[in-house]
Amino acid sequence: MSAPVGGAHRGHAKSAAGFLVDAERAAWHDRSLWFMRQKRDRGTAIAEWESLRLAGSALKAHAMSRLADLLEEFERRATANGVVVHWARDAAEHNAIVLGILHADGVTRVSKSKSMLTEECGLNPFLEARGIEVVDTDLGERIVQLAKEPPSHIVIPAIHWKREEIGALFHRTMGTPAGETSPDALAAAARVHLRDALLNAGAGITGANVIVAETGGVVVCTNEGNADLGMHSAPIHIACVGIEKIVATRDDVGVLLRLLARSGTGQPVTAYTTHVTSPRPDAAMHVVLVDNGRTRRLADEAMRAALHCIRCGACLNTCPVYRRSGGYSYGHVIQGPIGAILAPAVDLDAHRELPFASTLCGSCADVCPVRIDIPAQLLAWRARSAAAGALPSGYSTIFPFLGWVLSRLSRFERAARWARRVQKVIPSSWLSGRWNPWTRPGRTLPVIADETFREWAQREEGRP
Amino acid sequence: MSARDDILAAIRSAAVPPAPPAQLPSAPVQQADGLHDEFLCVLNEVGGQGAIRAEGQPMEALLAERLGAARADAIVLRGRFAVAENAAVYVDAADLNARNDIVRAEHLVVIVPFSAIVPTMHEAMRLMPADSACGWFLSGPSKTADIEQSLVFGAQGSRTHHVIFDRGT
Amino acid sequence: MFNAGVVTAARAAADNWVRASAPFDAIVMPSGSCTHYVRHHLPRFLGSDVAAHAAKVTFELCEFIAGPLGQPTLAGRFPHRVAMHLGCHAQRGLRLGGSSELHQTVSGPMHTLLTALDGLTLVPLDRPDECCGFGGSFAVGEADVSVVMGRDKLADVAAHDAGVLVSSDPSCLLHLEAVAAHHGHALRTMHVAELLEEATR
Repeated sequence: MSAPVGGAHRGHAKSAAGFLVDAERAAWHDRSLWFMRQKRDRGTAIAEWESLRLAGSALKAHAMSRLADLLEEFERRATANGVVVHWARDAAEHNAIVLGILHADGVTRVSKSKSMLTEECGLNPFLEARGIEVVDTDLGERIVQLAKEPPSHIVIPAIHWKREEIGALFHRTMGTPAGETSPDALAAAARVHLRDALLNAGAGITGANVIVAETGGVVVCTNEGNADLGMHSAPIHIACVGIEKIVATRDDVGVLLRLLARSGTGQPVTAYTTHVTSPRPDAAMHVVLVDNGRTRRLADEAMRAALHCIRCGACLNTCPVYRRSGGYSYGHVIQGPIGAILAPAVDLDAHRELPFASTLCGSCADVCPVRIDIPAQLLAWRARSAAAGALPSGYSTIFPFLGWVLSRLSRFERAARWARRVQKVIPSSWLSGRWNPWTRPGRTLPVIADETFREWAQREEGRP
Repeated sequence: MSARDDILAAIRSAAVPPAPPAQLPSAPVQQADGLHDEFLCVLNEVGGQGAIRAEGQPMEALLAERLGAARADAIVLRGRFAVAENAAVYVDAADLNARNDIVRAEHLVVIVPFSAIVPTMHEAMRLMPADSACGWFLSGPSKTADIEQSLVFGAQGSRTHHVIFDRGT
Repeated sequence: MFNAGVVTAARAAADNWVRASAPFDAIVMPSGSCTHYVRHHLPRFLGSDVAAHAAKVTFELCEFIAGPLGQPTLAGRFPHRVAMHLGCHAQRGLRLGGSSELHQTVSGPMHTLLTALDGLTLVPLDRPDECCGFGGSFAVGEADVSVVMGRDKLADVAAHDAGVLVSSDPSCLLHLEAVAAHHGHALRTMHVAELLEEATR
């Protein structure tokens, strides 16, 4: 697999170059994600789609503007319903809280349905290091878990795996017949393999797509039904959720449920949408509310809107760069366009390249169900990188020079004359060497015209 | 200061300016009987199967006809209402023996009163019981496309999913 | 430079341009990306009246011909199979064409001008508004992805049998021409100004 196992992340550009070495596989990856984009286009072709997006954007902005009140309202109602609500400032506190809940009941095995928040907090390795078995029960998550890899896409974590490879993995780990590659057979094997954990684990951990202040409820959406099997079978349900996932009312939930699946997979809604407000009489339910940098983001006006993200994955699927570089090129738990604006807040220096891993084409903003202006935030991060002296290599020398040349007409015209001379004198093979990033991957050097437009116009002046 | 206090204080000091609540989009007006057609069409697309029980038709006979031998492995549930735009049926935990009934069985049947159908999730959220301890919108059988985008039913939940609109109630 | 976040360097160049632009009633740019920058970024960046003026009077070429000049179509002949590439700034920045993300059909001033020409067949592309991969500093900073994006765009064009690729953005053209030349594509790349000139001679 192309997953980085240990070792430092090499930055997006180098990782992408590595991803593209296997051109056929990269093209297959691109086609697979584009297929998701096409499904999205069909699924969102409803008359009121744009007004739904406006509503989605508005309800998220509203929730962020009342975040403290809404979280308190949620806590009040949830607590009255028998849910235990916990608060975690950061990943370490989140992990400790979850561990505490599990230890209190002597739980040694948990079933977990997909939660990017738990990925963000590194929950799995934390629990495993403390003797607790974690079984990821989404098929895609289980694949990457068995392969000891991180997910490469927030919604389709194993999008980069081919069926033959999954077949081989399942043969090794589940005892499926060697050479079995049919998706039906492999999925059936996974169903059996995961059943016991889902039915009999000491606790079921889920994420939450939305939490609702008005009801104190937690909304979980899946297509497989694994979250439901886990949370409704185990004696303990723990829902781990970022504080930004809260909305004010049930009406708001309705809007998001119309936006989410259509955007992510093109379906009108996921197969299972659970709205749970209280535990079963014989069980316990916990909600862990996590900050982990979200309040800092909230205070950052230019970047605040990134908190609106509902983790649908549409921006990944449409991004021409993500499709051709793969999730591992982003070096962060969340990939793609949204990842590129989230990661720099975690570590601007480590992720200095991410805001530049984009042509600012704007496709992401147009598919975002809640209208996050991702290109605006990419631009803002670039400006901050420049100000912090954290630009990708070369940028800090070339651009000031370019700025100097372009700030006066006479300098530009002199530079143009020089460039023409240089190109006539120096062999193109020297100029097109492997050192030249323009030509190296497969481009010719542009031929500089004999005169600038201005020179041409001055020459033409007077002619009819 | 507790984590709770710290987080709430940090949020409040962010001083986010007020933003008004969302306006629900007005959906295109639909004819009431068109809703069942839309529901059944979408249900088909999402891999489910639908039927309408006419007055006088015995439910068990209809179930036997739809499920055949699978009747033995089927769980039959009562749904409160249906949603036309996405072929979802709302099931409430108050109507179940066990919450995981909705995912345990190979085959799931949800019976919904014929007249209990709404166009979109906007109306659906308002119809949901206000004090529900737990409820679900179920649309089609359990599925996954995690293996090379290839659609497979019965990932963990039901392999087949049937909705019966009951004219008799 | 502005798009790369290097604002100090950008400011000097911007100031120079804005000063030169001051006396004009209309500024026509054969470039969607430059027009977008002037219209959407320059006023806030420089914060001056001159910049605000420039933003108001700057137009992309096809936009200008169809709008202020009042000529949505021009009589002319161009009997070729043509693939159209608007460029992302014209497409999603200036909204000068229908975008697939928004469920819009291919349209806009350049589209109207081209389809009105005698004999011109505008070929449908599989991905009509996907980015070509230039992206400014991206072309150099992420050269590998940039070239693959360019190759894929050209493959789409070739798959629909177009002999001509036309764009309103010189940056896109620069990049696609260079990719095409390296890979030996028998494709004529033209700026829309060149095409219209030839068609209306």
